[in-house]
Amino acid sequence: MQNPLSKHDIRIYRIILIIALSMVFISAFYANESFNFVNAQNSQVGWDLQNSSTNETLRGVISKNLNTSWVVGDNGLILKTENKGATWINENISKEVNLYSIDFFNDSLMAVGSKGAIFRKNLSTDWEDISNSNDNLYRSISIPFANNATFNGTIAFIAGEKGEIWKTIDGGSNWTLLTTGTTVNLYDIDFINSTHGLAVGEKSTIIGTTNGGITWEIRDPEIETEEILRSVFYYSARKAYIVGDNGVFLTSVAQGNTAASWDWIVMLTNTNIQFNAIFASSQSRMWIVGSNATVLYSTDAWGTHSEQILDIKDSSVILFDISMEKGTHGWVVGSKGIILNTDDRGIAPTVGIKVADYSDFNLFFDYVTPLLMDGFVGMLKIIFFSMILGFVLGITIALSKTVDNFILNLIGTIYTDIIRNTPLLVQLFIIYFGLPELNIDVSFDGRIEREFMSAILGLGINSGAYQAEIIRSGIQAIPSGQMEAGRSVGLTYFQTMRLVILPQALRLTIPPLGNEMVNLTLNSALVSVIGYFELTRAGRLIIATTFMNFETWGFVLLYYFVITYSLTNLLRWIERKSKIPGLGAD
Amino acid sequence: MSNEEIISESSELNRKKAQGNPILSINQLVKHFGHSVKAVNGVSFEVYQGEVVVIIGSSGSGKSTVLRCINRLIDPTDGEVYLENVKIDPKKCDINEIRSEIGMVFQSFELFMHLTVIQNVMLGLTQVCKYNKKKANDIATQVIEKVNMIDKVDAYPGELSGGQKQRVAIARALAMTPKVMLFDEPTSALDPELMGSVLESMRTLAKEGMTMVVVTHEIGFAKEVADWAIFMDEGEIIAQGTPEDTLFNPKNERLVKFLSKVLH
Repeated sequence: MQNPLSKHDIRIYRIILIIALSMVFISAFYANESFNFVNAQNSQVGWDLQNSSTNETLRGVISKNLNTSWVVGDNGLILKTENKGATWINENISKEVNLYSIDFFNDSLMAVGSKGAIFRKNLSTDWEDISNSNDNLYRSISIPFANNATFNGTIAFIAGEKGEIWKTIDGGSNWTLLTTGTTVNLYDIDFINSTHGLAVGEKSTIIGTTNGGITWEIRDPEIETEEILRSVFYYSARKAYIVGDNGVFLTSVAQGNTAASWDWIVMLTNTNIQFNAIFASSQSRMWIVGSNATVLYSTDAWGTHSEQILDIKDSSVILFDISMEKGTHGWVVGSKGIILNTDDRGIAPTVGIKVADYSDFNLFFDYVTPLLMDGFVGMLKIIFFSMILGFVLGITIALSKTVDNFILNLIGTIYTDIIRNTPLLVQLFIIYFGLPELNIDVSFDGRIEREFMSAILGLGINSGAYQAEIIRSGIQAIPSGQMEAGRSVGLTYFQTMRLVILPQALRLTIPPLGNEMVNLTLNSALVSVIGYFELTRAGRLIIATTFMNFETWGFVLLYYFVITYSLTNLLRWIERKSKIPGLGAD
Repeated sequence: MSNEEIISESSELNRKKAQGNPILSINQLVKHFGHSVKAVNGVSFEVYQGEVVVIIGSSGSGKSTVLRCINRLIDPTDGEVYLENVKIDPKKCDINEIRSEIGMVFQSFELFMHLTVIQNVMLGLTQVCKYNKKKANDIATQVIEKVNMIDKVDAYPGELSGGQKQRVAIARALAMTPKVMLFDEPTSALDPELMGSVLESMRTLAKEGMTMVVVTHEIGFAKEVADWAIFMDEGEIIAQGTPEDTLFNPKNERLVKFLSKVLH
């Protein structure tokens, strides 16, 4: 016979096919990653990333209402939006200073920063440079009171290096240095009204005033270590929150009626990151932002808290400030020009309510691949064990059918005849549903999944009958003279069988046994009906979710093809390797 | 026809005197297949130490069956076989041990196709005699050398010619140091060209004093090496005696007819 393809051609075709299939599989392994990416962009984050058009470090944010907010940052950056962040306008102040803090009251807006920088703005005017002549760094500003449309009567406090706190009562035209009694660098200052205020800073320093800053007293922070306290949020006359380095979080407990006599309690945060700002929208609901792109959120006064999901991949981003409006809408700013926005308290929308459209092939592929891989592994497990069981049974029964013993012949014949003349599906039903009624437990007291054991038993026993017939035919294909020769040397029957007949018979039966292995693999699809999770069952589950029949079964088909085709080639290889001149067909 | 008529009495007496007790003694061997086929019908003869006994006869005369009954590859219907005056009885003695003492060479070689030449010879040594690998290998090399196959020790039987295969088969039987060797038409499956090397090996064995029972159609070989010749027909011994009596000067009518057919 003339073969249209030469052996060489066929080999190349096989190699190409195998490469193509392995590429499909490799792409399947990478599918998971893109799955997360796609979702992250769409729905699963609580804080959306805004386009700030800058890479400068942003250190302060304040909002006037739902639409209007300001952000300050390095290199004199003041960004303003009037449309909920759709566009950000740089209100250029033309000064090489790093701005650290911004505050707002009525119409007055003030920002402070490095090199003594102080800027002010009335809503009807432009930014005005009222910087102090000394070069100190001012880290925080608080405006407890301002009149409409004029700076007159606007009270503001600025905290900065070396314990300095400055006060103005005329909107920044004149500044008075207050006596604070401390020389550490102060990081934040917050006033609840024109008289009551708190300032925090290095070495776990907390100072407070009840008379508009005329006198300051030191409050005991109740922590052993000297941390930098970076943010204070004066929520009400009797409630304030302070956060700082190494996950420090303090809340106040008022004693009696005097707002001055407080104790601080240390809250557990289970983290040691640097907290940069805290914002509370009620006594129980609060956010803390800090390094490692972290936003923590609690709705029960820190009884429990959770980390919110941000639209940031880069965990080295440090978040510096947060400002919330009406307790739901808010802004977070940080390094690398990051501005985040939420309309719903930073809570990620619940996933799963949305019905995915699986006609998008990428989405479909990403959804089915992990399921199909699980099914694939499940199938590999059962075919591996049932092949072993089938082969052991096959050899045993083949021997019992060829040995010169009527009883053993009869047992072997009954076994093969019954199994080969009944449907595998019914055999599986008998094992899975029938045996429990006879109180036969195949799961070893539940130690092994019953579906798994039933599948292996069903497939193994079924395949065993066919393998028995194949091996028997192989044994009988060996000339009887081989047995005579073995016996004439002095070997026993079983020695001859083991050492002479079977090694030759099994070599002859590799091709039909290979066919039987492929059959076994294809038959394994049937065990999906007894509830074992393998490839076909995975396909049925996928269709229940996606309703994509053709694509799903197409993929299932491909997976089956991969395993059976590899199996076929493996057996071809074994056949080639075990080939002995003069034995079997050339 | 009785035994007295077909054996020349004088030659029989001389043989006994010369040889002493027989190694192999077959007494009234009968083998029926089913009810109708009487393959062997009361065959008796003796084989003495160092003797080459040749059994000739046309196809279907029961020669091979007799040979297979000797080492119980076939269970005889009736009659006894004695090896060194011990009755071969599977119920009373280990038949595998007895078989290992009786070498057998088949018409169709029956080498183990999946084993190399040396492995073929070693199999019985390691599995039956329980020798270790080294000793088995030494013995195997020795006997393979004896049949001039040393250059093919690692070849598979499928790579050998018929004559080479048969010599390996002889080596395989020889390795077990048998008391007697049975040859079942060892050259029938061979071309005349390949026959020579096998007959040569057998000749060497005969000269070394190996006791052999040879079923053959090679009258020339029989005439040359046989000490005793037996002619069988229809399951019975028609004539037996020294080659001089039976092969060179046949008196029996059927034997004459047979010889004339074989020789021409």
